[in-house]
Amino acid sequence: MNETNPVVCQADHVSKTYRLSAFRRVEAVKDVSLTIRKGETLGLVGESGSGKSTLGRQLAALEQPTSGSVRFEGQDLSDRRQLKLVRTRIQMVFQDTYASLNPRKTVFQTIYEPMAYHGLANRENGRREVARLLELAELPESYADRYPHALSGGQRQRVCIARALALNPDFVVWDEPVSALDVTVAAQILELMVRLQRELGLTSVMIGHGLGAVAYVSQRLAVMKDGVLVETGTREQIIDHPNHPYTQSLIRAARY
Amino acid sequence: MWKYILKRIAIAIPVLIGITIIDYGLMCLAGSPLDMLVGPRVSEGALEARAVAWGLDQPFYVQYFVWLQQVLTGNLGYSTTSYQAVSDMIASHLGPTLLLMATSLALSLVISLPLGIWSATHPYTKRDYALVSLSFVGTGIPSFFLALVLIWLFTIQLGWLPSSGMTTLGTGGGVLDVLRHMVMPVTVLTVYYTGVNLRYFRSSMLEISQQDYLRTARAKGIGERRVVWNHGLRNTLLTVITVVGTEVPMLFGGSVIVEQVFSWPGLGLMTMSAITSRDYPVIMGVCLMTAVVVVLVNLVTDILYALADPTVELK
Amino acid sequence: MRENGMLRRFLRHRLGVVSLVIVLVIALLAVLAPVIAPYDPTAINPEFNAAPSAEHWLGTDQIGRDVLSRLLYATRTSLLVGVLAAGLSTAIGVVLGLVSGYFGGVADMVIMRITDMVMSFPYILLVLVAAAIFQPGLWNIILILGFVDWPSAARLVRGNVLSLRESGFVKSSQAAGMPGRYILFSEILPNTAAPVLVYFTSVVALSMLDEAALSFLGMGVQPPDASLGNLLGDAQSLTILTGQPWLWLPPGIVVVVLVVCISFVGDALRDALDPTGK
Repeated sequence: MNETNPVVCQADHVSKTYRLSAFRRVEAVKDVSLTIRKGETLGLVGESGSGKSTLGRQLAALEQPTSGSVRFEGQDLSDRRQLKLVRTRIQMVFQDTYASLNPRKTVFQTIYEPMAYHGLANRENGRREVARLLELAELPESYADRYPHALSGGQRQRVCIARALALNPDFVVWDEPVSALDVTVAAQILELMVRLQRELGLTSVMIGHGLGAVAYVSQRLAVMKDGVLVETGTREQIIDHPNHPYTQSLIRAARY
Repeated sequence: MWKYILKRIAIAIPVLIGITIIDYGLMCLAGSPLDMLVGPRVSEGALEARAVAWGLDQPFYVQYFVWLQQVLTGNLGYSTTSYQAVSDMIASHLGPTLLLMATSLALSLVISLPLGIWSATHPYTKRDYALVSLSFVGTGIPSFFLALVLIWLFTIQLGWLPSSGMTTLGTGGGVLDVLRHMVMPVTVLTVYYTGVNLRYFRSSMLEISQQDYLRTARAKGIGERRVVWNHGLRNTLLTVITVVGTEVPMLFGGSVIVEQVFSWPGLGLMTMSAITSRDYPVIMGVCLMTAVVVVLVNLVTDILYALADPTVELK
Repeated sequence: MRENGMLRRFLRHRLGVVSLVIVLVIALLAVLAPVIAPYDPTAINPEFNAAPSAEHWLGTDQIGRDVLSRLLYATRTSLLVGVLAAGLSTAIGVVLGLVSGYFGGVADMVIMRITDMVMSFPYILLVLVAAAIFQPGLWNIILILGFVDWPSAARLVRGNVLSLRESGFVKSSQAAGMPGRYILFSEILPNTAAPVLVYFTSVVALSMLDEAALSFLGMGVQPPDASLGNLLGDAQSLTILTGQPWLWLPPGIVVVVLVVCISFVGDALRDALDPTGK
């Protein structure tokens, strides 16, 4: 089924190196190639330091790779003009919910302002639009006037999700969205993710270090270790027949 | 680490050049810099010849290099009021200022370091609050006001201490005499710097000790106390180095006012009279020299810092 | 809500509250100087060098001007210089810090090098020289102090911006395609306002001290305008020092009280604005 869908995001030999200082460099991502097709969710698994978040930022075009290319619907995103055209269609949800929301803005301001800038909402329908998005993220409309510090971790994450969806993206990168949440809250967020992806027809990349959570929402999986892509395949392939020893160890860990 | 040091030196060079350019630029606003280097005791004809020889007819950026060359050979010009060579004037006035500076800095360190450490190890106690408040007062009193109060008290009312100069007129001088003259100016400077340093030591020690608590909690065995001490000591050293490094430039400035009030024959007094008489060669010479010293001191500080803590990186 | 938390924390600092009250009272008196001063500060009265009395609460100076009135106007002037100079230098520093921190690259390097260079010159020297070249005077002093003091503000803001730049909400705004202008003013600036405010209070205190020093040396506010500094400057003569303490003790005390209290307020403000604090 998936093989015939059009390619939404294509990463070719992507590498990202950070210069920590004049003398130290870190190769976070080394020569990674990935294909993500329309409507599917790719799960990117790896431990801390594997480079998965960095790769996520390259895919979401928040940073440019040091070498290699990331294409969105065939367009090379290193071209700034191209990027500007498709910018709102690629969004990202972050892990640290507290740092992801401007502490001095209400929920309404955070969600509404980008919409207003892009003409997706105005003064008359703004309230309604934000309410719609909050409802989509399973939050009551009254939360619109709250500040981030008055929300719980799970609620903040829902706000981040609402914000990401506000611009009608086609492609969303979820960077460890549930890693900082309690188990029960995390489960709810995961359910929400699955529902949204189905209802909105999103193409997604789900990044996490727990194989269980990631596999729950993904159809395909990619395993990373030390900046390198170790193995890819469908969810069933990876979980039932893992090839690489590292993948096998991840599965064993998840079984606990 | 050596790469860091080299890089650090490399960065200092454009800053030094920039300083000379700023100095030169300011002098251009005030007059012609090359004119100031030439000096007044020449006849018109010689002036003309020199002008051509030195390129006074050239555009100002060429003049800059001629000027720079002269500066590097030690010619900082001649005072318009006393006709002395600026470099000579600086050399003769440097000693008294250094005496004042070094004594005040050393005294303030001796007082503020132990107090700062004590304060940081007993934070938020009544005595700590008192110390911090005192330090606010110490930095809040204008140095000249304190100086006036001291003079009023010790010279006028009590007659114990002399209020001006470095030595008593008519006497040969002597260490005791100089010391008597030094008491009040050093007191004024020390009060200020103790206030500044106390707060600085306290806050950086506080930061360090908070890390140390974690360290102690995780460490096992008898070695933990030693670890805390070594770590604490090394950081103390680093803090002191940084603090002293930042204060050297301030000392030049602080001394201007104090020397003025106490008529202390140092660099500050010389600069102040140059300023009131608009003696630009002297003013600019002092500026240039002090700025260069500051850059060099910062450089040395950073290098010492790197030697003490090899993990430091260039931002 | 959030704002009430700040207020409560601030009020817990008794020293800070007391200091704030003192500062406000003095500032009020100073602002109202034209209204409440018993005499015109430049008016020459028949008695000169008079000790404090019922007609002249703080006596008169060598030319016969009422000291109390002069003191009120001087406080007004010094406060004005302090606040305006601090405002100017903070404004310049904030702008440069924002540009330097957010846009990085060449702009950052250039601005940082210039900051290094300006910070290398001993502060007082730079100010004195500028005063010598551009002529002393009330407004010149404000401009000079403002243009010499911005490097610390720039460094502070730059540091804040650098860390804020990596935060999730900034990256989200970038992902949403918001223009740089918006991110700077709507996301970053409001979140760096708190430390800048605290810094501003300390700069006001510093600027007042600097103006006092300058005027004391004769390079600041020029007579007949009065400032706390030049009132003190008159006391350099031994006769005044010995014989007429009412001329120089009051201005000195006012300076000390103002500066110390402003410092305490700034300290309390810093603790109030930082919830994690202490």
